[in-house]
Amino acid sequence: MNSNGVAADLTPGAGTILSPRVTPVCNSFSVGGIRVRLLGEYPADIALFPPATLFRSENSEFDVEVEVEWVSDIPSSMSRQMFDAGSTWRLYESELGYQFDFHSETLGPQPYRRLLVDRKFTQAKLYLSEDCFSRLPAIPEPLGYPLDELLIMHRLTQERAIELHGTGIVRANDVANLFVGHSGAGKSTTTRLWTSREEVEVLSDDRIIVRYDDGRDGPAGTTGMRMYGTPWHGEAMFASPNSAPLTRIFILEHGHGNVITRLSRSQAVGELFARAFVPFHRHEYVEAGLSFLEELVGTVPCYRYLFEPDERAVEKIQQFND
Amino acid sequence: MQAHYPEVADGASIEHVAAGDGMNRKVVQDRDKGRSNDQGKKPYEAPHLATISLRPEEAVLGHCKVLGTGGAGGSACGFTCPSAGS
Repeated sequence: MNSNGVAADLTPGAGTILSPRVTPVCNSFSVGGIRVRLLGEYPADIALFPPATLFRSENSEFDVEVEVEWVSDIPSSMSRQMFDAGSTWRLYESELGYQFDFHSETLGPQPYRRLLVDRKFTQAKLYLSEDCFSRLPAIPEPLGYPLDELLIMHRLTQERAIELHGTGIVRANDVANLFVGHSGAGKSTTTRLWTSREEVEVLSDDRIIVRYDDGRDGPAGTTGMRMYGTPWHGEAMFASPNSAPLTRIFILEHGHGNVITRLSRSQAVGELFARAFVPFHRHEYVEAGLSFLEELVGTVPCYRYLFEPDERAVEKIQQFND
Repeated sequence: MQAHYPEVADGASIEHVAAGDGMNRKVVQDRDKGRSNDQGKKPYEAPHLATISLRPEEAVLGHCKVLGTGGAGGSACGFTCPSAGS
């Protein structure tokens, strides 16, 4: 794939991305305040596809560095398996830290990608299987889903931050509401209702990262909880690299009428945890997520919102005061 | 399934338990110990449990995210996934 996101032809002799070699190249992106630098031998190694291209960063500093390398094939792992997510990825212990193997039924039983990363998620090596990728008509994004989201999700355990299943909507008056919900709870519907009624910025309609802003990303001197857009959008297809100070959180559920109920801190932690993306394979990561949620709900008011999917659901929030 | 949401006070503790699919969690309420009405405080309420269901199939990124709509891998991911998830 070239820098415009056009997939390269891997057919032997067709002038593939594997030849001619070029000077090592790098690319950077930032999601949720996590700055990732990619290093590779070929432009396609470090390519970003839309909407990830929106998150490209020119910042020379980084939190995570990923070196991409092609290998002829990736053998099945003999290491101890720590977690099996189902059809897409498995986690193993490695000498360096962790080994993520990615599988696809389309590409056979061997991993088509392998990510080796240290336990602090600062240095990583990504191996791509020439054998597997050569079976595809076009090369997918090397760091494409779920690798990118897994990397960011794991790195967030080292920060005061968490990824939530929700839609983040910032109004013109700077009120930034986060609507959190399981699949089918109404996130995309809520997003469409808001965008049809007033000028808002939607940071994402499916995945939002909330983190404590130590002043790095907001205006000088401002600190507090901040929500960030991500590339991992939902049905409404909103993905923004922007962020905003978080005003309040609503737990979305379908109901009769539009009813807002303030949640206690313990209720809010439980409900948010059930809608969070946290690495479950290690207790310290779960504890880090819970600790941050406790901090979050102690700072930002959290409500349950039983709503009906029409304009009145938006009006209710517009007229709402804490 | 309609969940039950009892009132739980601030300061309640959270206990993680392995139950069912191993992903359930209990919220343990233990508040207002030693408080009384004559001090203008809330009356004592007995601790009770709230079970909150997790959705591991969503939480662990075990599926292709949104087929055909870009999603995290995007329609350009190049794969034919057997199942879609969120």
